[in-house]
Amino acid sequence: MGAIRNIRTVDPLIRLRNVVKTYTKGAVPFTALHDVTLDVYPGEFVGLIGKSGSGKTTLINMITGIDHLTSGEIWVQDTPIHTLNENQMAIWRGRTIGVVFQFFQLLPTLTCIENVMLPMDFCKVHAPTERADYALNYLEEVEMAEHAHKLPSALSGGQQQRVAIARALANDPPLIVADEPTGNLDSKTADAVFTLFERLVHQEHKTIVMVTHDKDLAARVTRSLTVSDGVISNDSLYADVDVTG
Amino acid sequence: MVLPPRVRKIFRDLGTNYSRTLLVVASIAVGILAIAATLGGRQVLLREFDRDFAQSQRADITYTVSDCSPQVVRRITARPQVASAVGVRIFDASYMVVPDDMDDATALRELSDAGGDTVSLSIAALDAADFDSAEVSHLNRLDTQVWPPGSDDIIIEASATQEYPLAVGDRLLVDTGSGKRVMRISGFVHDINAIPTMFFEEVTAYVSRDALAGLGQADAINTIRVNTTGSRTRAQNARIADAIQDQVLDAQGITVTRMEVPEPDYHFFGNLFAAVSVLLLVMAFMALALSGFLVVTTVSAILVQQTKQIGIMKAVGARRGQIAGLYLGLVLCYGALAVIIGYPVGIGFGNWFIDYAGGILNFQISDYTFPFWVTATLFGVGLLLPALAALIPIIQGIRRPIVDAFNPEVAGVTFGGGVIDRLLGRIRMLPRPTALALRSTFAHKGRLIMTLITLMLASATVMAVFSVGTSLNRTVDNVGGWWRYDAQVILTRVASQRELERLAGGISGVEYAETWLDGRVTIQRPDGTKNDSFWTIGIPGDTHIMHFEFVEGRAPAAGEEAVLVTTDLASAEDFLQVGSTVTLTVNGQDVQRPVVGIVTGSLQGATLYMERDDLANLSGVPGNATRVLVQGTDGAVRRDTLAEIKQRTDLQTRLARQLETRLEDKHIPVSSTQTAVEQLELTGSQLGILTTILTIMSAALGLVGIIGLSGSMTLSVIENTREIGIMRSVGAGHASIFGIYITQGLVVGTLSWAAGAVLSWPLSWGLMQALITSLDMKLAYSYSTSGVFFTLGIVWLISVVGSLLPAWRAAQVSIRDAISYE
Ligand SMILES: Nc1ncnc2c1ncn2[C@@H]1O[C@H](COP(=O)(O)OP(=O)(O)OP(=O)(O)O)[C@@H](O)[C@H]1O
Ligand SMILES: [Mg+2]
Repeated sequence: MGAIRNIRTVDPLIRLRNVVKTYTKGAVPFTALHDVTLDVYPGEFVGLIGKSGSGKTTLINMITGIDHLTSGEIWVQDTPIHTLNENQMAIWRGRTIGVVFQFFQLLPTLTCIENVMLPMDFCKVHAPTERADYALNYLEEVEMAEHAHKLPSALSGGQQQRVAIARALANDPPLIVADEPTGNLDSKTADAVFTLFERLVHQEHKTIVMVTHDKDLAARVTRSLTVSDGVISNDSLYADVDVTG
Repeated sequence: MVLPPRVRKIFRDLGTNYSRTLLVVASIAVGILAIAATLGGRQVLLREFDRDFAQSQRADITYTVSDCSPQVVRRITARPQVASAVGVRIFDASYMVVPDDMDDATALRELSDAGGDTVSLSIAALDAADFDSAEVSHLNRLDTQVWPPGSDDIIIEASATQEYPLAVGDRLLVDTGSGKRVMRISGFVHDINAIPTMFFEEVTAYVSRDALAGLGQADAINTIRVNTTGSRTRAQNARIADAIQDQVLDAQGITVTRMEVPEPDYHFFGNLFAAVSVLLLVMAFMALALSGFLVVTTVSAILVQQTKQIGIMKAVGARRGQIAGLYLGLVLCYGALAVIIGYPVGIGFGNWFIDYAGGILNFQISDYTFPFWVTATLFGVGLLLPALAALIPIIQGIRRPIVDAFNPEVAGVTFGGGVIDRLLGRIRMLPRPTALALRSTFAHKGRLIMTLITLMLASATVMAVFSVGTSLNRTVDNVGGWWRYDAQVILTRVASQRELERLAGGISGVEYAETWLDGRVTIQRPDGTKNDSFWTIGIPGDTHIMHFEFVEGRAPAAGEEAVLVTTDLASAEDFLQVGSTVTLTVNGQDVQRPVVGIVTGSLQGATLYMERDDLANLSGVPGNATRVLVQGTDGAVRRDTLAEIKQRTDLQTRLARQLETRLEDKHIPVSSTQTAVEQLELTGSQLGILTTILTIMSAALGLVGIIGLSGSMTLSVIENTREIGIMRSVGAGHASIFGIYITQGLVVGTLSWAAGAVLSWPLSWGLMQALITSLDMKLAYSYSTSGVFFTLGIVWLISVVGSLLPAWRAAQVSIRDAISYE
């Protein structure tokens, strides 16, 4: 495995070095990640699998900066995100990572297109007058343009998740991180969403890190990482990655 | 203009979550309303009272003199330190209303024998030119058809209309004792210096000099009112007054029977007004505290609900400042809405209250504008307070790590941790829905505490008001115990004690009669200035009627040359202490008298009591008296409540009427009659003003309490939508859901009531102390236990009313709503 990685000619997009995460809120401190070291390269579609409670979400939250690590280092592009303060993190995350949640997490009082415009608004991407056009493009990309002006509550789960993906794309981030984005969807819808992710990797040259429980879907990623008891126990590369893009 | 989505989110939140918006806006608005009424009301009343009083140009010096001509007034006006002077004739009379279908001649002949209601009148006859003179004792024209009045016209002071239904055009048969005449009411004026009718059941009226002859009065002046130049102290005015008396009045051979030099800002309502103003201040403070708690509770609860959305926004790249700005903006929008609604409503309510209070205290409100700082406070409570309240949850919200925001454990409800939770968990006998109601009540400790505090303050205020009411009633009862007469008649001039006693004793049903003497006495202060604004009453040393409530010392014994003063006089003149000697001027003579006692006043005004015969001798009328007081059967028995005394109403009225007729038959002119019941009702109505004002204010605070409870419960419904849906899905009907929330409301209400009961004790005690200080009157204190339980009833009502809306809302939750709820 190591040999394959050594032939890569580009720098990794994400570098985790000796990352430890210990939860201290409970009665007994619990270490969910033990000394994780990992490189993710541009253009990879990484699937994280593992038993429930193994530490997948914890690992994802480290990469997105949604939670703080206990020790170690995380670099994304050339940013040492473990050193960022909350504000720097927010700006950095808004432009660099698109986050997709299991439960969609759309703002209920905003329409679909407004939900997609929100990250642009916060990070001041595009001119205010152009944002709606961009947002509509992203919605088209996820085949949700016709629902642009509906509220999330009027949509099915799969539709909401597609809007959430469009929102993740809003600031055109190089990296998309998703925690069980298909966990709440039926297999057909899950398949459609997954296809969308594949297209993003292959056509838009995005890098995706995604947690999934679905065995069938897990087989379609380019690289599969198995997490067990807070360590990466297996790392399999399924496909070569086109890094020239 | 293209609004950025985040700004759109704020407006959308306002619009779509209309129940939350309504809740926050109502909470803030009700606070604005309560503060507007209390603080705004107080400041406007104080200002308008001062303005009305200043505009009235109340005389700095008033002489009561033997009949003289207007020539004298001109001489006084010409003096350098005198700004203006006016001469009037003041005399007592009474009136009967002439029925519409009776002509004047018939009225003159027959009306007084018909035995209708007679009302006491105090008439001032002014020179026609003086009706418009604003320089001394200005009259404020309200509704005047003929101005100045003609010889058959009478102008009535407006406070009379609160007691008697008088209207312009009504005809009155006016009887002065020396002449009768039918006069037409040609208008109403307002005179802040006239004692309002409701206090002494006497109507103040004004006629022109032309009317004097028709009323059998001499066309002469008997009262001279003087205003000095500039603003002077009482002592300076007193020196000018002495000089005028020496150089003008005495020099002209005019007898001065009374000279009044009041403190420049003294008003007879001063004490009562001070009491009202203290009460309003306390209430304003309570309103401020209450609405403060309410606003903080509601705003922070609303923001806690946004925890997850804050998390999402942070996850998609929002910075802390952006989020803080967003939510401060939201809160400011809430505040602005609340101000838009609450401010005009508050002003409306405040103005209604100002009108009401101004009406009973008889002064004119010409400008209802709240002082700037009050308006600023209202806007502060509307805009700043919510923003401040929001700051803490906003900071907490943006500091919270995104992971926690998605975790309901941290963001919202926790139950199971504390002692109370474990206790509640252990109670097994409760039906499930009740147990659930109790547990969800305690789920949000912080908000529960805030709601409890809000309701506790409201219920403590209501209970304290009950106690104040009971204490004031007890005070009235006490006053009833001090003056144990059934009926008294006050004469317009002195008559022989022995004859009065004989005449009164001859009336069937009179067991005992006693005569008192009203005198005119001036006190000389150690600094040489004088005070004569108090009543002087001579009471026999062996009185059976008067049972003084001593603060200190004792009453003068029969024949003893000593004085006794009331607390209000003693606090106005602090040199009047038991053991000290005071110099009195009576009938032009200076005498020394020891002060032997201080007694509680009874809102009758500052009074100096002397032994009757001592006062009669000093006044040059030995053996004479001006009042006769009688006791009927069992009259000397102390009765403990106004209700008990009221059982004697009929007896007292009969005795009063017989006494009056008896004296008039013997040509002894009667000025007024009064029964003990009337006197007590009078004191009661004065103290009642305070209770009324307190009740209005506590109702406003109760409203804040209802909104507070309702708000906090609505929040709990919103937060528990999912749980409610789950309950529905396992078979809970409308009634059970409804019941859970009503139970919750009752639990919170009862807890607040219990805490409020504890707080109401010191609160009511403090209120009474404030009243005692401002009224200069010893008041009975009695904590109202029945009020506490009555308040429980009110609190339960508030709780049920406050829970209705949230409970109804909860019952509307469908399972689908709950599951799709975000
Ligand atoms: N806030 C927390 N405090 C304490 N322990 C936590 C916390 N969050 C997670 N854990 C623990 O850390 C471990 C890893 O949790 P994590 O959520 O990463 O698992 P996961 O692999 O995502 O599981 P799943 O597939 O069920 O989502 C678990 O044992 C969990 O109990
Ligand atoms: Mg997980």
